[in-house]
Amino acid sequence: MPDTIAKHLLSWVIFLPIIGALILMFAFKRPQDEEDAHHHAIVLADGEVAPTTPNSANAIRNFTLFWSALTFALSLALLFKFDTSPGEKFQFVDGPFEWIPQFHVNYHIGIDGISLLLILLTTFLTLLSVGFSFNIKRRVKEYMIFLLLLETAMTGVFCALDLVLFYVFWEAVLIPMYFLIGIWGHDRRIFAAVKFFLYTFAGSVLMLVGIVYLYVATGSFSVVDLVSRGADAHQLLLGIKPQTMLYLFSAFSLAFMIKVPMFPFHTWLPDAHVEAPTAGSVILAGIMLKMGAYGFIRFALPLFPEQAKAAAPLFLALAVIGIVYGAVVATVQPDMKKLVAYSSVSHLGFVMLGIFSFTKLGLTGAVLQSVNHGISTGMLFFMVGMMYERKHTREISAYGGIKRIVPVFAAFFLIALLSSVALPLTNGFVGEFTILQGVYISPISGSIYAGIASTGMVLSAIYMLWMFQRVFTGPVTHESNKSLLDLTKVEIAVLVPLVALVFWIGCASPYWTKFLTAPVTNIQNDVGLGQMQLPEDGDPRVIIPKEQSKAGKEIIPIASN
Amino acid sequence: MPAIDFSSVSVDTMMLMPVIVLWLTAAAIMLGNTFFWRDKRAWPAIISLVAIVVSALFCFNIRSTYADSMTTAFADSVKVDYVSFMGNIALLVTAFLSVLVAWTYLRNKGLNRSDYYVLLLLSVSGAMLMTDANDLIVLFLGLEILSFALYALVGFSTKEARSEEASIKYFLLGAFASAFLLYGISMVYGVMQSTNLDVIFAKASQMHGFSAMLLAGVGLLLVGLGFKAALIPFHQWTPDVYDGAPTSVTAFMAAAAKIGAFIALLRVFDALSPVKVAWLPAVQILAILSMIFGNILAISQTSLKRLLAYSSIAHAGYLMVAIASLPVSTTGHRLTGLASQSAIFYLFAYVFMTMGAFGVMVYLSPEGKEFQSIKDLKGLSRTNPVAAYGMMFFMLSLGGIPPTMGFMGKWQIFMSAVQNGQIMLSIVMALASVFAVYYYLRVVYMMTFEEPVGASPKAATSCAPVRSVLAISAFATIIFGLAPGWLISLLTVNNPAAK
Repeated sequence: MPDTIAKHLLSWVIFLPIIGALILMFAFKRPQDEEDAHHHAIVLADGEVAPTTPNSANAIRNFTLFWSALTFALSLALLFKFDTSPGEKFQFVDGPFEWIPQFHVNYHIGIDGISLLLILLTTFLTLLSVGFSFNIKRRVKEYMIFLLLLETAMTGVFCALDLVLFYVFWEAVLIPMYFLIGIWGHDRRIFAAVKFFLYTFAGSVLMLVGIVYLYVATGSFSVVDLVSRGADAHQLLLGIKPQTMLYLFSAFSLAFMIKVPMFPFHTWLPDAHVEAPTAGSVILAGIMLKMGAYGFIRFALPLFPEQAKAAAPLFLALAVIGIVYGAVVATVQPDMKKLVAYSSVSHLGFVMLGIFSFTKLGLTGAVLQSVNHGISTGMLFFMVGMMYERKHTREISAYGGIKRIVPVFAAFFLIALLSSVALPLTNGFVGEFTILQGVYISPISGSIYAGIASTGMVLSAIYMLWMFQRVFTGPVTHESNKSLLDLTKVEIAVLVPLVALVFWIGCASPYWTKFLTAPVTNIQNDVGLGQMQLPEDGDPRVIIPKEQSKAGKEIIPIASN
Repeated sequence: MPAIDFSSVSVDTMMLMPVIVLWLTAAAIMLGNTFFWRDKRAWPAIISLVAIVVSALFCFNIRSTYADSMTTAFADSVKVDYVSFMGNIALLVTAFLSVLVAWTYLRNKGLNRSDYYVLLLLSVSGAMLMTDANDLIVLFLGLEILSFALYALVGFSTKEARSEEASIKYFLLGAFASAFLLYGISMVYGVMQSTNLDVIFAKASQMHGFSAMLLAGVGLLLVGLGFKAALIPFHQWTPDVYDGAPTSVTAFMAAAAKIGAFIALLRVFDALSPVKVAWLPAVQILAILSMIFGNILAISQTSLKRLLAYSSIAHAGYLMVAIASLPVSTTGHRLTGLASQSAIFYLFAYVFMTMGAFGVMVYLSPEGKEFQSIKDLKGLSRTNPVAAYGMMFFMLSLGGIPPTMGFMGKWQIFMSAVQNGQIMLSIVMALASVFAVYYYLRVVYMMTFEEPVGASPKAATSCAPVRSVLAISAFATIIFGLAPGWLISLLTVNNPAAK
């Protein structure tokens, strides 16, 4: 690997997709739509290139696939070079470079194990989405450009260590997603796109005011300075009045809660997920929802530990309401995509539950479940999309007994579904079980929340298996379904890596959780729970090293409530 | 800057050079038109562009010579500091882009008369005087020079009743506003025994409490300047005039009048900052009304020009937040803080965003036909992706979404507001910008989500000048959105009080 790339590896991972987008923009001609014959009549503006052959569309698709594969390969380099030894904070740090020197805004990025897994998920799902999106026939060039821009923005969110940089990436995510939903979505796409944009934007502008307030009070936008004990900024942060801190925490939390989304801020989600094109739904559910959870872990908790602990009961309650509510509503959905969308509300409830248990197990499980949900729900959305392409409907009642006709399809679907249901040996089980364990032992949450949340697991089995039953088993109910095609080779190629991950994480989770040991301990320390001795909190893989416990002594004691 | 030695020139003359260049050029264009080209050629536009560049060079020269020392000229009635420098540059950028827009627009509308450029240059010079003013009388003079040229420009399309009507409306209401302003000046004079802002500042610092007379005077000043800045409730003229005026005039007026008015507001309220308690509630109320109602009224608009008119009211509200954040200054070094800095940065952003947005409208108005409704934009990204995505950038920037210049401007206003304790205003501003995003997105989705219907808008003929406006504006919107540092440094270099 050339030296310049190795030195700024993380920046390359972030900005490689945008370079690809620029190449697409300038080096490729706008291809003609392949299906819509009536567009031939469009009078092009002055000097505009005449419509070209479909070959140029294929060139765009192949280039984007190649480019996203390149990005994924580069992000794998992060995985292999990552140091999992405990005590490590941020790695692959680039910067801080002065960005807006007048306001001490820096370009400062770096990742810990949590970011690493989410970045890998991002590059991986984007690659698969590009592969899946070969069937996009309209406006291919714009579509691929938006996908690549989205990848850059999402990766940036998971790397930024400066609050302004973070906010810029955070908002920049909205723009390409808005277009993906609005241009290539289904019937109510405009409504869904606008609702998605406004809802998330409304949440995050108040966070911007909060960020600005933090800067005015502490003189720093750097999240590293703000949370590291001993730094001036941290001392100033501790000096802010508790009442104000509560407002600040609310401003940050609102943005993240909407993004997750937690009940009752979830109403944008079904609309956006259902109306988005398949790749859009995959990225929305797979990655963008995780940005909210990540925001809590990286910003809201370490910056406002006392407020987070005080507000924990509220968040835990909303999380379990989300789990049960999402599951119940999912059960009655006649539309498969909507069902999967509501199941996301339920699954993200688990993630939030894990985060607000403040235990190592809970936090580890929350991150792992974020990744798992990306994989299993991503796979479900892909497969619902494949079904929609075959029959142009997602109504459960339009299918029935199609297992005989499309056996391979049914097998893959069952794997995705069982992973979502959290069957042991699949990734879902590892994530949700770890979370429930963490919630159970935590003095903050406790067994009641764990008990209610576990009903969510039962409900998920109900709505998922019932759907499977209605769609795949029994006699074939519609004559027209007899001509359904089974999975094509391309589709299998998209799904096989996901299946591999389902079982890899499900059977050999230590390989993945080892990345989370150090960061989870760091977060616990930041929140001021590092010294909390819990006899049961003994995940055998999570070993607190000596350096860590020594560092723990310097912790300024914060009165626990 | 090229090192031309102007040391023998007195500071008074030097200070006026940027304006004098414009006046002489305006006169030259008038004469040249009478004797040589008679509205046939592009000469007036080219000469204007050259004059604007020369004027800007003078500004840079003045800045490097005098700005650090905060010199005043003409018996303290004109001030040379970073605010006047940046204000002048912003105005000259506006003028430069406006000339380019007009070049295409006038030809396509068959209005190619050179007096347009004469009026435009005079109008800019008036606004430049307003930014330099250190005396209320100079301020008033500047405002009148700006306004009279604008009244004529608004009615420039003499064939259209709309344009005439807008001109009359603007003139009548503008005359009222000027009277208010003048009355306010006289009342302030009555209390302070001076129209000089430095003296007013010194007197105000020694005041304990404030009199009803001063309150009335400041209120009337606020009415007069608020009219020019298009603040609610002095905004009634805005949609009609924006809609009726020729598009190139609307673009120019939106940016230039705003710069002039807001820098004047900055200067006046900074001088009055010792009695901030007296005027703060009024400024806050105007800011909140303009932000909320400007954005709400914009939502239901179907004409793009009217939409931009209401949006300009909302932007005036955002700028008022910066005015409300002016610190109570105690030193002689005034207007060096974050509030004025953020306001000026925002004005720059506003120039590029509005010129870009109106530029797209001109670009899409082919010969004899004018682009009006948002619906005309349907499917633009299919027929003219460059214009559509350019417009998208301007809309996102107006909405304050990163990574655009509009976001950086809004972010700085937030900073100044929070720093100076105006947290409530910053929250209102944040929520108001959610409404704003709704209608900006409506423009975006008309262009990108919808399919073209019927005859889609085609590009204007001979559109090279307006194309360059789009290129410059889009480039600036993105570059200053990604790297605003350089522009901010122009406002803060050698500036001891700045952060």
